[in-house]
Amino acid sequence: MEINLKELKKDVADKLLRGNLTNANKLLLLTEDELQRMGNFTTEDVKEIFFLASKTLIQPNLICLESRYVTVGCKNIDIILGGGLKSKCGINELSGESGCGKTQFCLRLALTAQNPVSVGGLNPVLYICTEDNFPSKRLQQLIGNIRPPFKNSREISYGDRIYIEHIADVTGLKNCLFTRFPSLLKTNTIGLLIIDSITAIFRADYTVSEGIQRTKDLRSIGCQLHSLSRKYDLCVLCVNQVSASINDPVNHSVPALGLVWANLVTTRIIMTKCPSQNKKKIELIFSPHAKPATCDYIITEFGIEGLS
Amino acid sequence: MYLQILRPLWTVPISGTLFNKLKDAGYEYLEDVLCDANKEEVKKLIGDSKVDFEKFTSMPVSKTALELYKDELQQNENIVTFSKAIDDLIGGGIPIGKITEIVGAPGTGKTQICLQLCISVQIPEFLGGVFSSAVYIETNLNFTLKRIKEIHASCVCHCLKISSNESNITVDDKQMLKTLSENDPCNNIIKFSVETVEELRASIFSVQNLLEESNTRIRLLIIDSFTFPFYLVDINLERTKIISEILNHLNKLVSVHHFALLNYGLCFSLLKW
Repeated sequence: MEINLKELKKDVADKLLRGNLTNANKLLLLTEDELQRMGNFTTEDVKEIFFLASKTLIQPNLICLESRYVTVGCKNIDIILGGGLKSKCGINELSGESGCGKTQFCLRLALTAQNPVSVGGLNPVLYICTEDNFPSKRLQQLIGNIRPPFKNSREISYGDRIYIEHIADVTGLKNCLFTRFPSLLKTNTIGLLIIDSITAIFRADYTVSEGIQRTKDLRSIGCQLHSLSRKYDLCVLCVNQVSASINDPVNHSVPALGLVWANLVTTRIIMTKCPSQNKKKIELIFSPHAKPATCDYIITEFGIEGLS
Repeated sequence: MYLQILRPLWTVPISGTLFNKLKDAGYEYLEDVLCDANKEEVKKLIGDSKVDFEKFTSMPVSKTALELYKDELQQNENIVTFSKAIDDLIGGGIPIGKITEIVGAPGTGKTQICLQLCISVQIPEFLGGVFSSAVYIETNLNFTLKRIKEIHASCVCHCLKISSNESNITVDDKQMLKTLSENDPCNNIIKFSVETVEELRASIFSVQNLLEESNTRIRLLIIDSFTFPFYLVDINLERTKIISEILNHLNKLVSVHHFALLNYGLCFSLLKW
């Protein structure tokens, strides 16, 4: 963004023009000394230039604008999540062992997100599959079994408003998130982005010595997801797998991808199976807007149902 | 008669071009320039650079250690965190005039402490608070209005309970308590939502502007989190340069304007090859 040179004194503005220093972003990456030396400015001039650049780039936000919550299709689970999954709130992560129902959760969410906002819905959904093919048959079964209050009185064609993408590697995911998805967002409003799963991409492609590259890629994708969520008021859900934990006496498995990914996650949800008690539990580990809570659930023909 | 030590011109903060011009004209010491300051040729040499040579002879303000000690005793304000254990641990609360850093693994409650402090900075003075505003610079979308309202409601409850046991409350104190309980807490929280390093720097300059110009008493600045924008800066040298520039700037602001700064960092594991 360019600064408004008219707000500065004439000689200062001329020097900035001659030195090609009119971009606010570039100016704010310089230190005070560097800027002073570049244009032979006084300390007061440098302060004014920085103030002007800051004013151009950023303003205080209003706190009164609340974000929206999308229901996951089951009231009990909504309660433990603090109202549902929050949009414009960074990355929501869902992890669990294989077979505990993560994809079922995502499918149910993809349907309820298309309801009108008054019943806790959002807009069309983008579903990125990285593991198996998209489970269309199960989706059709869920569509057929939608019950009120989650079914709209007008017939929404639920199947038509889910954009499905199959991606197999990091390059494809970067291409999708940095190029193709933003151009889709310019013409259509998408309310929910589901990546099932984010682990499959990062686990296979890297050797042990490529650790640094993996960290960089994880960070750049995580930051891009944050940026998309902020800019387009999007709800982002990433499915993660689990790794075995050796030292932890309580939890035998921890979400995969380590501390780098954990620092990028805003809300963490874990689904666990207890084979001894034949129970399945869904637990909110941390979230900025809800306290940790847990509840049991079962998988039915309607999807994931939480038990109170 | 005392020996005067002359100051060479290269020790004086003037630009390279001006220094070269004066050197070519034969001036090597600051005292020589000051002596000839009214002469035409010197005025022409200095030209439009608007450098005030008189300013360079002024002494910096000095303080004795006793004065510093007295200042420290007087300005021993802290912002309480609502947990006696934590307050005792860090010596009474988050200290004003210093930079405090909170580091922790994800999910340990760093954002919760920050939100809590946004409310406790607004507590009236007669209850041990500072009755001021906070600035919240958010980089990772962790700020929630719902949580602020919850914390505010329970803080008001707590304050009303304590003040009902106090006997000597002045009218001003009652007014402050009323302001706390009836006002929207967000009126005293100024929030910036930033994404990149440039925006982080811009928000700190905006805070400096607010401190210098406005009438609001800002006693707390929270950066949540400081590390997030630096994820996108790949080159380590660049990152170090900007971090030290920002921290230098914050240090100057904190000591001049006298407020508390809370930096929230993220936890990293060390890899050993």
